[in-house]
Amino acid sequence: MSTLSQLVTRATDRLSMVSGTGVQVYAEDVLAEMIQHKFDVLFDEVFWPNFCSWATYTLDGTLGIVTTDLTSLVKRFDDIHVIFSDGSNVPISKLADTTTNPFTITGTSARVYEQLGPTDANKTSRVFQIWPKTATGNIIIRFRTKPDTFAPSTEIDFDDQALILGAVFDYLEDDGTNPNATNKFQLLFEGRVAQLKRMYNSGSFPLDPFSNNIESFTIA
Amino acid sequence: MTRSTMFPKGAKINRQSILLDATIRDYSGGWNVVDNDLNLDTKFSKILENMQRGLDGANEVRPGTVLFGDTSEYLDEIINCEYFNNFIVCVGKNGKIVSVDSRGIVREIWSDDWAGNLAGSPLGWDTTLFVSFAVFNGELIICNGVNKPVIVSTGMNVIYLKDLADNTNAFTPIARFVIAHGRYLVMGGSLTVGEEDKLFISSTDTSGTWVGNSDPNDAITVNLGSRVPSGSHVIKGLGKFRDQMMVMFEDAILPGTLGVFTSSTHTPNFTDAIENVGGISHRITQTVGDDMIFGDVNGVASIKRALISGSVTSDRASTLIDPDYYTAISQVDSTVAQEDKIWSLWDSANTNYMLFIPNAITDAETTEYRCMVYKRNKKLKIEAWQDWRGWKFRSGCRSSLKDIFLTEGTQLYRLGDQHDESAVYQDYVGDQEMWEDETPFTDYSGFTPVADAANSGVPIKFIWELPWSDNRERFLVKNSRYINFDTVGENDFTVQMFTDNIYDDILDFGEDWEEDPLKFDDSTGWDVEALDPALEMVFVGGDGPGFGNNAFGNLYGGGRPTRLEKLYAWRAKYKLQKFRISGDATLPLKFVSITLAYLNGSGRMA
Repeated sequence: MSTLSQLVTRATDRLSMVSGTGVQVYAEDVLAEMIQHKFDVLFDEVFWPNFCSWATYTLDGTLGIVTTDLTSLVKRFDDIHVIFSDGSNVPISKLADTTTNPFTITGTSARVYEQLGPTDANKTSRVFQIWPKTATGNIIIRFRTKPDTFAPSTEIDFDDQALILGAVFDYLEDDGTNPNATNKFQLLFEGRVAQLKRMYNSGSFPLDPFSNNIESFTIA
Repeated sequence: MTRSTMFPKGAKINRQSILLDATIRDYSGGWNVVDNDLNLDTKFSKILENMQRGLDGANEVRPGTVLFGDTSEYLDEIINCEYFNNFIVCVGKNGKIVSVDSRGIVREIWSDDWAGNLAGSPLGWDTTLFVSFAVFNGELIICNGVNKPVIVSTGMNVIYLKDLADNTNAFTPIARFVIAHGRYLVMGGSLTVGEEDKLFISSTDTSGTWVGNSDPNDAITVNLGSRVPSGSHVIKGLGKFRDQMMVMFEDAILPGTLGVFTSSTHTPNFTDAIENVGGISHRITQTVGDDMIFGDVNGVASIKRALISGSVTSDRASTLIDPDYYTAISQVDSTVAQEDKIWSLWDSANTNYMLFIPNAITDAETTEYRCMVYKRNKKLKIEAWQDWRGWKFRSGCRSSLKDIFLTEGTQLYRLGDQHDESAVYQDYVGDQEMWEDETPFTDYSGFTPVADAANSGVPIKFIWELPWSDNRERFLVKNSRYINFDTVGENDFTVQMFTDNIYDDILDFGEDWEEDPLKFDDSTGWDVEALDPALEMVFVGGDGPGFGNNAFGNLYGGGRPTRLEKLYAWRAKYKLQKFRISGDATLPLKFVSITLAYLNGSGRMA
């Protein structure tokens, strides 16, 4: 892991610019923004495990929201990976809002979830709501937490090379010089991102939650 | 290829190498304030303070000054000085004269006491506000216009100038201006009513024999008033070049030829006249080879002899700086102050005509003698002006080794020569020093006396501003990308780039009163320079150690080195751009070239 400042310095090196903190007054902010852009895009690309967490929250039973303040944990609705009811392996679905009238859903078990709208006072602190709103009990949620916009001293928990190569490619594209160098860095960047995704997807994934240990069984 | 939101499949970008670059490396134009800088070539500079075009074509910080001697033991203020026979002869306002040798040791050579030792026990000189010098037949003659002239021998003995046969100076004229020309000593500028236009010409081959002395004597006087075609008939100065002498009036110049005899009578020829060109001070006239450089209220001019006809012609040399010249001269709106205090020097080693103009009439009000420098080297085709600031030198002279000496108050300074071991890169070395953080007071003066002469001096504040440039594409938007310098030296400098005629910070309402935060009734404060550059960065000269290598200098960093060929980002969007380079020099610094890399855009400014 490197800080944003270190990534900017390494990017200026790759660009054959004089490097050092505070040296490039008119490139450092640009490169920092480019690194931020690459991170933001790549962050949304995959639910990278290093940003994801599991948590159990209790439903309030009246508003369909959890009782825990999620402000600093789940910052956007899109950062919710999956929600389960307590003790279930069946994910709770998103509300099909063009075919389902949520007010027709009744009971005390969580059925679907959706993003809170702009008129809801809990939009920031709870992010989503469960239908029916009278649902009670716990839900299990996997979400990713997006880091705040980076400061120069912020350590960025992401692949250095992907961010540097992406920023360098972006900067070169603006330069209007040496198209071959621009192409090269674009390919390097894309290759690295593809590699990260392959690494993310590698490993053994069971197709269902019951076959994760084939030597374990129960005789009825 | 990764399919992602960043690179949709099939997206293709047509890339070309379209980065352009423009290099500024011709600074031959020098300082130019007369042309509109929206329409000025980059070889000219809109501001060129304390810089000069070097003989190698680079723009460099001007030389500094180092204390050479102090005459305060004898003089109250040096009015003028002249190099003569290995000594610098300085005349004080108190009428005393001292010699300064090559080690800076000062000896009194003329005062009431010295005069009292002469035959007849005359008095010395009265309070002296002006003196002129002439070396004639191996002796130095000094005139102050108030007392009888004195003559200094090679042994630094001073006596009143007198006729050797009569042993009297009864007929020696009292005049302000003196020159040696041909075989004659010529004086003019008498303060006696009725003699303002009178030229006093000595007897052939003598300096002390004048009209009235016993024979053999062919000395004469000539009243030139009737020959003056326009303006005042009062002689303002004397000059010479080749076989011609020039008598300057307010609005005319009379060229004359001496040594013309009718039978045994000397009948100098003053038949020609150059009209509408005159002089304001005897002290600003310099003879430079075939030319003579001088100035009047309107500007600096030169005269020379036409090759074919042999007639004398004049040419305006200060056209490019006339507005600033006129402004500077107008601050000295007193004829007496103009004659006494505006002065010049010819630095032959650097081919600089140095014109010093005070910024006020009285000594008490004067804070600066602005030095306008006309660099002129015909072989190298250099004719460029420079503006040297921050000095208060009232007189100066050139030694036989072509060193330049300047005086301020009672002190004598040597101007550093940038081209040898005696180079000086700060001002007032040996007399003033800076704070521990290497900064002077806000008026760029320092502490005095200094603790360590070898480690003293105050920085030279330099400013170099180029005209607006459109990169030869006035209509198109440009996007600058990188900047690069070829520099020599170790000093740091600030580079600013202004864009699209945005120069002054219009949101700056001026400086508050010092005593309290109130402003004037209209909510504005004191008018101070507040600029609004689009880009600004500090760099260090090409010989500097670079960032981080300068141990504890510049607060833990050596600055951005310009010796590296790596890039410095320099990003702005503009149709017009203007560079301004400034700094406080304590080390050498010269600019060989400035390169800007940019992209051309469309004609629409977003």
